[in-house]
Amino acid sequence: MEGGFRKSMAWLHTWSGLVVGWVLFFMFLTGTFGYFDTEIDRWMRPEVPLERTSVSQQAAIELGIGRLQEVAPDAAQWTLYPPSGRDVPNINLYWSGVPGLGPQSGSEVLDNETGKPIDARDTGGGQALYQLHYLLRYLPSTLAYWIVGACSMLMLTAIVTGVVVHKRIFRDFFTFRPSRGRRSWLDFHNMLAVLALPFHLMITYSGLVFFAFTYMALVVSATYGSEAADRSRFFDEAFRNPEVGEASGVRAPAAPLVRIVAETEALWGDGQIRAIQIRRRERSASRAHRSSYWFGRRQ
Amino acid sequence: MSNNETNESLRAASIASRAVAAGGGGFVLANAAGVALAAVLPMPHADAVMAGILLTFAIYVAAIVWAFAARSASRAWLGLAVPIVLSFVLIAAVDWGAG
Repeated sequence: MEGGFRKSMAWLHTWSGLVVGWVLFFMFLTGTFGYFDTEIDRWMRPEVPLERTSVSQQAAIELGIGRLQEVAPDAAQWTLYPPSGRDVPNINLYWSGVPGLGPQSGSEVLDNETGKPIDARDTGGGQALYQLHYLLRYLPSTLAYWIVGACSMLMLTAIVTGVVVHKRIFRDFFTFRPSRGRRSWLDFHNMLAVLALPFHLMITYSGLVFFAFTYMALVVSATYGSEAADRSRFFDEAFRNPEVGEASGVRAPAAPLVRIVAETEALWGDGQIRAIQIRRRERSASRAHRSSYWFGRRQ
Repeated sequence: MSNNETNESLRAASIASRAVAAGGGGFVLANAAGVALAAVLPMPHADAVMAGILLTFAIYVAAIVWAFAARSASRAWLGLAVPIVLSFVLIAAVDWGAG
Protein backbone atom coordinates (compact mmCIF):
# COMPACT_ATOMS: atom_id res chain seq x y z
CA MET A 1 0.00 0.00 0.00
CA GLU A 2 1.09 3.63 -0.09
CA GLY A 3 3.90 4.55 2.26
CA GLY A 4 6.14 1.61 1.55
CA PHE A 5 6.49 -1.96 2.68
CA ARG A 6 7.15 -1.43 6.37
CA LYS A 7 4.29 1.00 6.76
CA SER A 8 1.77 -1.26 5.08
CA MET A 9 2.97 -4.15 7.24
CA ALA A 10 2.51 -2.00 10.35
CA TRP A 11 -1.05 -1.27 9.21
CA LEU A 12 -1.70 -4.96 8.63
CA HIS A 13 -0.19 -5.81 12.02
CA THR A 14 -2.51 -3.38 13.77
CA TRP A 15 -5.69 -4.50 12.05
CA SER A 16 -5.11 -8.24 11.94
CA GLY A 17 -4.49 -8.05 15.68
CA LEU A 18 -7.39 -5.73 16.48
CA VAL A 19 -10.23 -7.16 14.44
CA VAL A 20 -10.51 -10.48 16.27
CA GLY A 21 -8.31 -9.69 19.24
CA TRP A 22 -11.02 -10.40 21.77
CA VAL A 23 -11.87 -13.76 20.24
CA LEU A 24 -8.18 -14.66 20.34
CA PHE A 25 -7.93 -13.51 23.94
CA PHE A 26 -10.90 -15.72 24.81
CA MET A 27 -9.26 -18.69 23.06
CA PHE A 28 -5.95 -18.16 24.82
CA LEU A 29 -7.55 -17.73 28.23
CA THR A 30 -9.77 -20.82 28.06
CA GLY A 31 -7.02 -22.78 26.33
CA THR A 32 -4.64 -21.92 29.15
CA PHE A 33 -7.17 -23.21 31.67
CA GLY A 34 -7.29 -26.30 29.49
CA TYR A 35 -3.69 -27.13 30.42
CA PHE A 36 -5.01 -27.79 33.90
CA ASP A 37 -8.15 -29.69 32.86
CA THR A 38 -7.31 -32.75 34.97
CA GLU A 39 -6.59 -30.65 38.03
CA ILE A 40 -9.75 -28.55 37.61
CA ASP A 41 -11.85 -31.70 37.21
CA ARG A 42 -10.20 -33.08 40.33
CA TRP A 43 -10.86 -29.88 42.26
CA MET A 44 -14.53 -29.92 41.26
CA ARG A 45 -14.98 -33.45 42.56
CA PRO A 46 -13.48 -33.50 46.04
CA GLU A 47 -15.14 -36.86 46.77
CA VAL A 48 -12.73 -38.65 44.41
CA PRO A 49 -10.23 -40.59 46.56
CA LEU A 50 -6.56 -39.61 46.45
CA GLU A 51 -4.76 -41.12 43.49
CA ARG A 52 -2.52 -44.01 44.27
CA THR A 53 0.43 -44.26 41.97
CA SER A 54 2.16 -47.17 43.65
CA VAL A 55 0.43 -49.73 41.41
CA SER A 56 2.36 -51.15 38.48
CA GLN A 57 0.91 -50.61 35.02
CA GLN A 58 0.85 -54.36 34.56
CA ALA A 59 -1.50 -54.70 37.56
CA ALA A 60 -3.61 -51.72 36.51
CA ILE A 61 -4.06 -53.14 33.02
CA GLU A 62 -5.17 -56.48 34.43
CA LEU A 63 -7.70 -54.73 36.67
CA GLY A 64 -8.99 -52.73 33.71
CA ILE A 65 -9.35 -55.74 31.42
CA GLY A 66 -11.11 -57.64 34.20
CA ARG A 67 -13.59 -54.82 34.58
CA LEU A 68 -14.17 -54.61 30.82
CA GLN A 69 -14.93 -58.33 30.70
CA GLU A 70 -17.47 -57.71 33.43
CA VAL A 71 -19.27 -54.63 32.07
CA ALA A 72 -18.87 -54.93 28.31
CA PRO A 73 -18.02 -58.51 27.33
CA ASP A 74 -19.63 -58.19 23.88
CA ALA A 75 -18.34 -54.75 22.87
CA ALA A 76 -16.65 -54.51 19.46
CA GLN A 77 -13.91 -52.30 20.81
CA TRP A 78 -12.24 -51.75 24.15
CA THR A 79 -9.85 -48.95 24.92
CA LEU A 80 -7.90 -48.86 28.14
CA TYR A 81 -5.70 -46.05 29.40
CA PRO A 82 -3.51 -47.20 32.27
CA PRO A 83 -2.57 -44.54 34.83
CA SER A 84 0.38 -42.58 33.47
CA GLY A 85 0.86 -39.55 35.67
CA ARG A 86 -0.62 -36.08 35.59
CA ASP A 87 -2.96 -36.31 32.63
CA VAL A 88 -4.32 -39.78 33.34
CA PRO A 89 -4.17 -40.32 37.11
CA ASN A 90 -6.60 -43.29 37.14
CA ILE A 91 -7.45 -46.27 34.97
CA ASN A 92 -9.74 -45.08 32.18
CA LEU A 93 -11.93 -47.49 30.25
CA TYR A 94 -13.94 -46.93 27.10
CA TRP A 95 -15.98 -49.39 25.14
CA SER A 96 -18.13 -49.18 22.03
CA GLY A 97 -20.11 -51.31 19.62
CA VAL A 98 -22.19 -53.20 22.16
CA PRO A 99 -24.81 -55.28 20.30
CA GLY A 100 -28.41 -55.17 21.45
CA LEU A 101 -30.81 -52.47 22.51
CA GLY A 102 -28.98 -50.91 25.44
CA PRO A 103 -26.38 -48.16 25.25
CA GLN A 104 -23.76 -48.95 22.61
CA SER A 105 -20.83 -47.42 24.35
CA GLY A 106 -19.68 -46.33 27.76
CA SER A 107 -16.78 -45.34 29.90
CA GLU A 108 -15.56 -45.72 33.46
CA VAL A 109 -12.77 -44.45 35.67
CA LEU A 110 -11.38 -47.02 38.07
CA ASP A 111 -9.54 -46.75 41.35
CA ASN A 112 -5.99 -47.90 40.63
CA GLU A 113 -5.76 -50.18 43.61
CA THR A 114 -9.21 -51.66 44.09
CA GLY A 115 -10.24 -51.67 40.43
CA LYS A 116 -13.68 -50.46 41.46
CA PRO A 117 -15.30 -47.64 39.47
CA ILE A 118 -14.90 -44.27 41.13
CA ASP A 119 -18.25 -42.91 42.17
CA ALA A 120 -18.23 -39.15 41.78
CA ARG A 121 -20.51 -36.45 40.47
CA ASP A 122 -20.43 -35.50 36.82
CA THR A 123 -18.54 -32.36 36.03
CA GLY A 124 -17.81 -30.31 32.96
CA GLY A 125 -14.91 -28.82 34.84
CA GLY A 126 -11.61 -28.55 33.04
CA GLN A 127 -12.77 -30.35 29.90
CA ALA A 128 -15.51 -27.76 29.32
CA LEU A 129 -12.95 -24.96 29.55
CA TYR A 130 -10.51 -26.84 27.35
CA GLN A 131 -13.11 -27.49 24.67
CA LEU A 132 -14.36 -23.93 24.87
CA HIS A 133 -11.17 -22.70 23.25
CA TYR A 134 -11.82 -24.45 19.95
CA LEU A 135 -15.55 -25.27 20.08
CA LEU A 136 -16.70 -21.85 21.36
CA ARG A 137 -19.75 -23.63 22.81
CA TYR A 138 -23.35 -22.87 21.74
CA LEU A 139 -22.16 -22.88 18.12
CA PRO A 140 -22.31 -25.84 15.73
CA SER A 141 -18.84 -27.39 15.93
CA THR A 142 -18.01 -27.10 12.22
CA LEU A 143 -18.84 -23.38 12.26
CA ALA A 144 -16.74 -22.98 15.41
CA TYR A 145 -13.76 -24.71 13.75
CA TRP A 146 -13.89 -22.27 10.84
CA ILE A 147 -14.25 -19.21 13.05
CA VAL A 148 -11.34 -20.39 15.19
CA GLY A 149 -9.36 -21.09 12.01
CA ALA A 150 -9.98 -17.64 10.53
CA CYS A 151 -8.98 -16.00 13.81
CA SER A 152 -5.85 -18.14 14.01
CA MET A 153 -4.89 -17.13 10.46
CA LEU A 154 -5.22 -13.48 11.52
CA MET A 155 -3.10 -14.22 14.57
CA LEU A 156 -0.45 -15.80 12.34
CA THR A 157 -0.60 -12.74 10.10
CA ALA A 158 -0.19 -10.47 13.12
CA ILE A 159 2.86 -12.46 14.29
CA VAL A 160 4.57 -12.49 10.89
CA THR A 161 3.93 -8.82 10.19
CA GLY A 162 4.95 -7.98 13.76
CA VAL A 163 8.36 -9.51 13.10
CA VAL A 164 8.61 -7.83 9.71
CA VAL A 165 7.96 -4.29 11.03
CA HIS A 166 10.80 -4.57 13.51
CA LYS A 167 14.04 -3.01 12.49
CA ARG A 168 15.76 -3.86 15.73
CA ILE A 169 14.02 -6.87 17.17
CA PHE A 170 17.00 -7.75 19.36
CA ARG A 171 17.61 -4.28 20.75
CA ASP A 172 13.90 -3.67 21.33
CA PHE A 173 13.85 -6.68 23.57
CA PHE A 174 16.13 -4.89 26.02
CA THR A 175 14.38 -1.55 25.76
CA PHE A 176 11.89 -0.32 28.26
CA ARG A 177 11.25 3.36 28.77
CA PRO A 178 8.86 3.85 31.71
CA SER A 179 6.58 6.87 32.31
CA ARG A 180 6.45 7.80 28.65
CA GLY A 181 2.79 7.03 28.07
CA ARG A 182 2.15 5.23 24.81
CA ARG A 183 5.88 4.74 24.21
CA SER A 184 6.10 2.70 27.43
CA TRP A 185 3.15 0.55 26.44
CA LEU A 186 4.72 -0.12 23.06
CA ASP A 187 8.03 -1.08 24.69
CA PHE A 188 6.14 -3.40 26.99
CA HIS A 189 4.25 -4.90 24.03
CA ASN A 190 7.53 -5.53 22.19
CA MET A 191 9.17 -7.07 25.21
CA LEU A 192 6.34 -9.49 25.95
CA ALA A 193 5.80 -10.36 22.30
CA VAL A 194 9.45 -11.03 21.55
CA LEU A 195 9.97 -12.98 24.77
CA ALA A 196 7.22 -15.47 23.91
CA LEU A 197 7.54 -15.27 20.13
CA PRO A 198 8.54 -18.92 19.58
CA PHE A 199 5.62 -20.02 21.73
CA HIS A 200 3.14 -17.75 19.98
CA LEU A 201 4.27 -18.95 16.59
CA MET A 202 4.19 -22.61 17.61
CA ILE A 203 0.81 -22.49 19.33
CA THR A 204 -0.79 -20.64 16.41
CA TYR A 205 0.64 -22.81 13.65
CA SER A 206 0.00 -26.06 15.49
CA GLY A 207 -3.53 -24.91 16.25
CA LEU A 208 -4.10 -24.50 12.52
CA VAL A 209 -2.47 -27.86 11.80
CA PHE A 210 -4.80 -29.49 14.34
CA PHE A 211 -7.72 -28.82 12.00
CA ALA A 212 -5.70 -28.88 8.78
CA PHE A 213 -7.72 -31.81 7.44
CA THR A 214 -10.87 -29.73 7.88
CA TYR A 215 -9.54 -26.43 6.53
CA MET A 216 -7.42 -27.85 3.73
CA ALA A 217 -9.47 -30.98 3.00
CA LEU A 218 -9.02 -30.26 -0.68
CA VAL A 219 -5.35 -31.24 -0.61
CA VAL A 220 -6.29 -34.72 0.56
CA SER A 221 -9.30 -35.16 -1.70
CA ALA A 222 -7.44 -33.87 -4.78
CA THR A 223 -4.91 -36.66 -4.35
CA TYR A 224 -6.87 -39.48 -2.76
CA GLY A 225 -10.50 -38.74 -3.62
CA SER A 226 -13.31 -37.21 -1.62
CA GLU A 227 -15.15 -40.30 -0.37
CA ALA A 228 -14.93 -41.19 3.31
CA ALA A 229 -13.10 -44.40 2.37
CA ASP A 230 -10.50 -42.41 0.40
CA ARG A 231 -9.88 -40.17 3.38
CA SER A 232 -9.42 -43.06 5.76
CA ARG A 233 -7.04 -44.69 3.25
CA PHE A 234 -4.95 -41.52 3.44
CA PHE A 235 -5.00 -41.47 7.24
CA ASP A 236 -4.05 -45.16 7.41
CA GLU A 237 -1.09 -44.50 5.11
CA ALA A 238 -0.01 -41.21 6.64
CA PHE A 239 -0.22 -42.33 10.25
CA ARG A 240 0.85 -45.88 9.43
CA ASN A 241 -2.11 -47.44 11.16
CA PRO A 242 -1.75 -51.19 11.46
CA GLU A 243 -4.10 -53.10 9.22
CA VAL A 244 -6.93 -54.97 10.83
CA GLY A 245 -7.27 -58.29 9.04
CA GLU A 246 -10.50 -59.91 8.04
CA ALA A 247 -12.24 -62.03 10.60
CA SER A 248 -11.44 -65.71 10.13
CA GLY A 249 -14.91 -66.80 11.19
CA VAL A 250 -13.43 -69.21 13.71
CA ARG A 251 -13.72 -68.38 17.38
CA ALA A 252 -10.18 -67.92 18.63
CA PRO A 253 -8.94 -67.64 22.19
CA ALA A 254 -8.05 -64.11 23.25
CA ALA A 255 -4.43 -63.15 22.68
CA PRO A 256 -2.40 -63.49 25.88
CA LEU A 257 -2.50 -59.86 26.94
CA VAL A 258 -0.33 -60.29 30.01
CA ARG A 259 2.52 -61.53 27.83
CA ILE A 260 2.05 -58.76 25.26
CA VAL A 261 2.12 -56.12 28.00
CA ALA A 262 5.27 -57.65 29.52
CA GLU A 263 6.97 -57.76 26.10
CA THR A 264 5.98 -54.18 25.36
CA GLU A 265 7.27 -52.97 28.72
CA ALA A 266 10.54 -54.79 28.10
CA LEU A 267 10.78 -52.93 24.79
CA TRP A 268 9.69 -49.46 25.87
CA GLY A 269 10.48 -49.46 29.59
CA ASP A 270 8.20 -49.85 32.59
CA GLY A 271 5.12 -47.68 32.72
CA GLN A 272 5.48 -46.42 29.15
CA ILE A 273 2.23 -47.82 27.75
CA ARG A 274 -0.29 -45.06 27.23
CA ALA A 275 -3.16 -46.87 25.55
CA ILE A 276 -4.31 -50.33 24.69
CA GLN A 277 -7.00 -50.92 22.14
CA ILE A 278 -8.61 -54.26 21.53
CA ARG A 279 -10.89 -54.73 18.56
CA ARG A 280 -13.01 -57.71 17.76
CA ARG A 281 -14.25 -58.65 14.38
CA GLU A 282 -17.44 -60.68 14.13
CA ARG A 283 -16.82 -61.72 17.72
CA SER A 284 -14.62 -64.52 16.48
CA ALA A 285 -11.10 -63.41 15.85
CA SER A 286 -9.45 -61.18 18.36
CA ARG A 287 -6.28 -59.29 18.06
CA ALA A 288 -4.39 -56.97 20.28
CA HIS A 289 -2.51 -54.04 18.91
CA ARG A 290 -0.10 -51.81 20.75
CA SER A 291 0.18 -48.15 20.12
CA SER A 292 3.28 -46.25 21.04
CA TYR A 293 1.50 -42.96 21.59
CA TRP A 294 -1.96 -41.60 21.62
CA PHE A 295 -2.89 -38.59 19.68
CA GLY A 296 -5.41 -36.19 21.16
CA ARG A 297 -6.73 -35.82 24.62
CA ARG A 298 -9.10 -37.64 26.85
CA GLN A 299 -12.60 -36.45 26.04
CA MET B 1 -17.58 15.08 -3.75
CA SER B 2 -14.41 16.75 -2.61
CA ASN B 3 -11.03 15.42 -3.56
CA ASN B 4 -10.41 14.18 -0.04
CA GLU B 5 -13.59 12.16 0.07
CA THR B 6 -12.79 10.60 -3.28
CA ASN B 7 -9.37 9.61 -1.98
CA GLU B 8 -10.93 8.15 1.14
CA SER B 9 -13.41 6.01 -0.77
CA LEU B 10 -10.71 4.92 -3.21
CA ARG B 11 -8.56 3.86 -0.28
CA ALA B 12 -11.47 1.97 1.30
CA ALA B 13 -12.18 0.19 -1.99
CA SER B 14 -8.50 -0.73 -2.31
CA ILE B 15 -8.42 -2.13 1.21
CA ALA B 16 -11.63 -4.10 0.64
CA SER B 17 -10.25 -5.51 -2.60
CA ARG B 18 -6.97 -6.48 -0.91
CA ALA B 19 -8.87 -8.09 1.99
CA VAL B 20 -10.84 -10.27 -0.43
CA ALA B 21 -7.63 -11.09 -2.31
CA ALA B 22 -5.90 -11.99 0.97
CA GLY B 23 -8.73 -14.06 2.45
CA GLY B 24 -10.24 -15.64 -0.67
CA GLY B 25 -7.37 -15.54 -3.14
CA GLY B 26 -4.92 -16.59 -0.45
CA PHE B 27 -7.07 -19.58 0.46
CA VAL B 28 -7.30 -20.69 -3.17
CA LEU B 29 -3.54 -20.26 -3.61
CA ALA B 30 -2.77 -22.16 -0.40
CA ASN B 31 -4.90 -25.09 -1.53
CA ALA B 32 -3.67 -25.07 -5.13
CA ALA B 33 -0.03 -24.88 -4.01
CA GLY B 34 -0.67 -27.59 -1.43
CA VAL B 35 -2.08 -29.92 -4.08
CA ALA B 36 0.82 -29.08 -6.43
CA LEU B 37 3.38 -29.78 -3.70
CA ALA B 38 1.64 -33.07 -2.88
CA ALA B 39 1.98 -33.98 -6.55
CA VAL B 40 5.65 -33.07 -7.08
CA LEU B 41 7.42 -33.66 -3.74
CA PRO B 42 9.72 -36.66 -4.11
CA MET B 43 8.47 -38.78 -1.22
CA PRO B 44 5.84 -41.43 -0.58
CA HIS B 45 2.37 -40.31 -1.53
CA ALA B 46 0.90 -39.92 1.94
CA ASP B 47 3.97 -38.04 3.18
CA ALA B 48 3.87 -35.65 0.22
CA VAL B 49 0.21 -34.88 0.92
CA MET B 50 1.06 -34.35 4.56
CA ALA B 51 3.95 -32.01 3.73
CA GLY B 52 1.74 -30.12 1.29
CA ILE B 53 -1.00 -29.71 3.87
CA LEU B 54 1.43 -28.57 6.57
CA LEU B 55 2.85 -25.90 4.26
CA THR B 56 -0.53 -24.50 3.17
CA PHE B 57 -0.71 -22.16 6.17
CA ALA B 58 2.74 -20.72 5.51
CA ILE B 59 1.75 -20.15 1.87
CA TYR B 60 -1.54 -18.62 3.01
CA VAL B 61 0.15 -16.14 5.34
CA ALA B 62 2.67 -15.20 2.65
CA ALA B 63 -0.26 -14.53 0.30
CA ILE B 64 -1.95 -12.32 2.89
CA VAL B 65 1.27 -10.35 3.41
CA TRP B 66 1.66 -9.97 -0.34
CA ALA B 67 -1.94 -8.78 -0.82
CA PHE B 68 -1.29 -5.83 1.48
CA ALA B 69 2.31 -5.20 0.49
CA ALA B 70 1.70 -4.91 -3.28
CA ARG B 71 1.79 -1.40 -4.71
CA SER B 72 -1.81 -1.51 -5.92
CA ALA B 73 -4.84 -3.75 -5.44
CA SER B 74 -4.70 -4.97 -9.01
CA ARG B 75 -1.04 -5.94 -8.59
CA ALA B 76 -2.06 -7.80 -5.44
CA TRP B 77 -4.59 -9.84 -7.43
CA LEU B 78 -2.13 -10.43 -10.25
CA GLY B 79 0.55 -11.61 -7.82
CA LEU B 80 -1.87 -14.21 -6.49
CA ALA B 81 -3.27 -15.25 -9.87
CA VAL B 82 0.12 -16.08 -11.36
CA PRO B 83 1.16 -18.69 -8.75
CA ILE B 84 -2.38 -20.12 -8.73
CA VAL B 85 -2.21 -20.66 -12.50
CA LEU B 86 1.34 -22.07 -12.16
CA SER B 87 0.11 -24.51 -9.53
CA PHE B 88 -2.68 -25.69 -11.80
CA VAL B 89 -0.26 -26.08 -14.70
CA LEU B 90 2.04 -28.13 -12.49
CA ILE B 91 -0.83 -30.32 -11.30
CA ALA B 92 -2.04 -30.83 -14.87
CA ALA B 93 1.50 -31.65 -16.05
CA VAL B 94 1.97 -34.27 -13.33
CA ASP B 95 -1.47 -35.69 -14.08
CA TRP B 96 -0.68 -35.87 -17.77
CA GLY B 97 2.72 -37.42 -17.09
CA ALA B 98 1.10 -40.04 -14.90
CA GLY B 99 -1.09 -40.89 -17.85
